[in-house]
This record gives sequence, C-alpha cells and structure tokens, in this order.
Amino acid sequence: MQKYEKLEKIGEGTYGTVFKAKNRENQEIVALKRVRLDDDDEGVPSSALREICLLKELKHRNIVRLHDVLHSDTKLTLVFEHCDQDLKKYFDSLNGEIDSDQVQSLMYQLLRGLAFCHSKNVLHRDLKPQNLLINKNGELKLADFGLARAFGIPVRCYSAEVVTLWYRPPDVLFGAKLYTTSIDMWSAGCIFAELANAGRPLFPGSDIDDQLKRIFKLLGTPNEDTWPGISQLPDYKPLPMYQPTSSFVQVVPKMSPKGRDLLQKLLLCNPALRISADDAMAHYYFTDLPSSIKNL
Amino acid sequence: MEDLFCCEAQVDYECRAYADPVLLKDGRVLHNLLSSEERHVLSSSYFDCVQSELKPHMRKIVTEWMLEVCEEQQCQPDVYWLAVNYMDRFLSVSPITKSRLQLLGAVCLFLASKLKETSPLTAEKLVLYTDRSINYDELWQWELLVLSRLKWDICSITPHDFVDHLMTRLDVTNPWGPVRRTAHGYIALCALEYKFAMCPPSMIACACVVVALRNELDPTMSTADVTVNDILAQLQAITNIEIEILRGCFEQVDEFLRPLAPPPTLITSCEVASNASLSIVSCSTESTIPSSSVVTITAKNEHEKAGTPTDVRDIHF
Repeated sequence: MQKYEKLEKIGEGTYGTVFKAKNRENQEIVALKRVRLDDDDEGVPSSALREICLLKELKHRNIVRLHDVLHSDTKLTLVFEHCDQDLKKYFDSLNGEIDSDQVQSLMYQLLRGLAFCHSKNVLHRDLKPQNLLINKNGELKLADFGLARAFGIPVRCYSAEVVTLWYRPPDVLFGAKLYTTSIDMWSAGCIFAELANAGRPLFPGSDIDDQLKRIFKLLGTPNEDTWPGISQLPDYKPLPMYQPTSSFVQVVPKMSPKGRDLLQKLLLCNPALRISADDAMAHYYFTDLPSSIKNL
Repeated sequence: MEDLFCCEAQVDYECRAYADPVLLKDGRVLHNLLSSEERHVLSSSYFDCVQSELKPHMRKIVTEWMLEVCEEQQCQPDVYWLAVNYMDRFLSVSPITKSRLQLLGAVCLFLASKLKETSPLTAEKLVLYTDRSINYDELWQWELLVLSRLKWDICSITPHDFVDHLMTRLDVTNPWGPVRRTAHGYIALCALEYKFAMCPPSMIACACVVVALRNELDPTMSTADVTVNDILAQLQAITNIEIEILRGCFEQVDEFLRPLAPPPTLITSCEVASNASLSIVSCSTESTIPSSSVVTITAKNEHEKAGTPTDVRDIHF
C-alpha cells in the first residue's frame, strides 16, 4: 500500500477496520476500509461487494465517494473520501444542544441523498447515525451500503454481529421482506427526531417486542383498518392495543410544528402511507431553508 | 427439481403487498434503468474474436448447469441472469480454456448470489455442485479475477428489473397476477440463449412480457395479431424502443421459448400460476435436443465430468 500513508485507526466497520490515510501523490486525506479475505471461507464479503458496486454508481454530494478499490490475495482495501465524523460522534459532541437550523440542514441533506438513491433504484436499508458521515463543512453523506440491493433484511442476529433495531420500521420487524423505499423513510424519521433531540434515540428498543411496543406506544397499535394486510405479515403477532399519543410535542419538544408535521408523515406504521424522499424535500418545513444549503 | 423457482411465489406475495409507487410510478427510475442498461450488454460475440477454444454449445452446457443450481437452491430470480451476464462479460475480455468454464460459471453464481441473497450460496455447495472438479482456492482466486476484469461493476441491470415497471404501466387487468411470474420465468430461460446476451435487458423484458401476456390470452395468437400489436405499441410508448425492434425481439424470444416452455394455458389462480411457472422452468429440462450431445461433451471435457447432484444426464438435451 505505497500509494497511501496510514495515519490512524478510525474504527471498526461492519466488515473491516477503517483507517485515516494520506494519498502520497496528492496529499489528499482519505479513509481506508480494510477487509481481510483470509479469515473468511466465503471470499469477498457480500456487504463489501454490494457496497463497492453500488457506490461506483452513486455519485452524489450526499453520498460518500468511493475513490478506489485495491486488492491482493489476502486483503481488500476500499478507498473512501474522508469525513471527519459520523452522526453518532457528532451527537456525542453536542452536550444535548443542537441548533434548529442545523437539524433542518442535516435532515434536508439526508433526504436529498435518499431521493437520489431511490431514483437509482437503490434502497439503503440500514440507515442509522453511525452510517451518516459529516464533514467539516456540515455536509452530510450516506455511507455503508452493505445491505442495499440484497433481498432480505437481517433483523435477528445471525452471527455475533449486532444489528440495531432502533431504526427498523414495524413492517420489517413483523418480518416483511419488502423491497420498498418506505423502509429508508422510516429510518429517516427516527433520525429526524434524534437530530431534534440532539442525539437522544427515539425508539431505543432492546429486542423486537420491546421495539414494537415503543413504536406503538407513540403511534398507536396498528390494525387491519389502519394498515390493511398487517396480520398477514410473516412474523405478525398481536400486541397490546395502545392508543396513539395525541401530540408529538412531548416527543420532540424543540421541533417546530412544521417539523412535527413532517415527522408524523415519516413515522407512519403503514409503509404504503409513508411520505417519499422527494415529497419530504418539498414539505413546507423546508420552505425557509437557506439557498446555500439547497445548493450545498 | 420440484422446487424450481418456488421462491418466486413468496417473492410475488411480498412485492404485490408492497408495490412501491416511489420506484414504480416515478418516471426517473425507469429512465435511469433505460439509460444505464447498455453498459452491461455484450457488444460483440466473443466466440468470434476473443475465445479460441470455447464454442457456443459449451456456453449452453454451463448455463444449463448454472440454471439447475439456481433452481435447486431456489435463488432469487435475477441471480441466474446476473451470473450469466458476469460470465459473458468476463469471456468477452479474457480468453480461457474450456476446462475453466465451469469454474467461471461457479464463481459467477457465487458473486451474483452474494449480491442478491440474504443467505448466499456457499463455497462448499458450489464445489459440491461441480462434483469437486473445482477447489476452494480456485474459487477465491477466480472471484477476485472476475471482479477485477469486470472492474467490480457487478450491479448489472437485468430484464427482471424492468418487469414491474412494464407491468404497472401496461393497460392490463391484473399487473401483479400470474403473467408477471411467467415473464420472470421466461427471462431466466432467455439467459440460456447466447444471442440474447447482446440485447438490451429492457428489450428482453418487453419480449417476455408480451409472450407471457399473449400466452395467457391465447397462445395460438399470431405475432401479427391486433392484441399483440396493441401491447407492442404500449411498450413502445413506455420504453421509447422502436416498435419494429420490439417486434423483432418478441418474435425471436417467442420462437426460442416455444420448444422450451409450452404456453401455460390453464392459468386461473395464483396457485396454478406458481405451478405454471415451475413447469416453465422445468420444461427447460425436457427440451428436444438429443441427449447424446451432452454425453459426448461430458466425455470430452474434464470439467464437465461434473455429475452434479442433479446429474447432467437427467436433463435430456
């Protein structure tokens, strides 16, 4: 790896170690995601495969750029544009305070990245703060496309790897192997609320039951009337009938009424009713968005 | 062999339940598919200019073996098309000996399955399916070789990607019904035919949808029938592909499918339909090509000694 000088370890990704590094030719700072091939009997990990071939297609300001792929017999190195931190670390640095303009800007960029993916027939399906990168200029980038394009979505843990349930919509928790954009929109809603609360997760469930109960305590337990077909889902089970909380004010106290209206359109249990990324970007919550961010 | 593409029944259920308007109603998605599909289509025949040892009948044998693996393992419908696409693209840039062809086919299945499946085909299964004529090291080395020759560009657009887009835009009574499943089955069969590797996926999708619709209405209908014309005209408006080109492709696909997949005439319900789609693919194993051709090749080629668990000799080509 002569082309890149390793600077420091940034973290452990879903399928490999991530280093900060410098391109010796042009001094550009990059992130190297290293995947060892010899400790897996199955060759190139499927998540790495998906990520590489999708990111080659998805060139957009709100999607992390894959510069290069280097491989030897024993390891694979993905060279990404470097971002300073992910949204989770950003939350940690906030001390519980976030500017509402910043919430609006980050949410808009998240939706713009998603709208682009969806127009390219790609679903992210694993949106969470750890997969959203933020650079010094306040630009947000979608990263970690390891689950996109696969058919099923692992909800339970097949291996030691922990799959967080916090951003999974109820349809997926009920076992729907759906292939629709609405899954990303639910996750975007959860992240929107978390942004507004400066990093307090909206539905931090501990297992599938707990996750569903937390969701339904806020939104009301769905039934065949509010969500036709729900009882046909593979893992459907009846849960206590909670009444919907009348107002989102307690949930996101600092969010404006416009923002709450958008949030409610994202957090709809019935996936068919959830707002799309394009429509969300056109929501009146964003009418006063500075043109500098629209054009960022 | 009983379970050929059974997974489709389930897939269909899920998709029907959640036909995604964001993807299907938004013209940009179809437009993006159409504008980027050409990149993964073969531009010329590799038998003429790249491969010296390989012959078209060898491609046929290995693609049939790949289809069998996909059927037995109930892969997602598009895994098979993707794998064949990788193989063709690899062969159009890298000459190989015939003894490596099954290895290449296995590697392409390995890759396509990883891209699409939650539980991909394992290296162990693939090695067994070749009757251990390939080993793990070869599989892993060739995986990287294929990836680098394809420039990691393995998200090819397949005809399967177009079916839902076409069905939702066509004026048909039941776009999520049996026709859709039948079209997916026909598409898989088309991957067997080398000349279709040089057609844009959207065209194959159109042709298979027309054959599926025609067969549901009246299999005896001629290709010049008014109804067929009307469907072709609608498809022309949807895809902007010239109607005569669509018709030409439809006629070729129809001709190719006839001996492989006799039209399912009795589709009345979803259950029957899923059986129909099974028979579509299983029909491929009862085609009329003399069985001797397989046996001779089997004898000639070391790698075709395969004797896959389903046994090549059962296929009666």
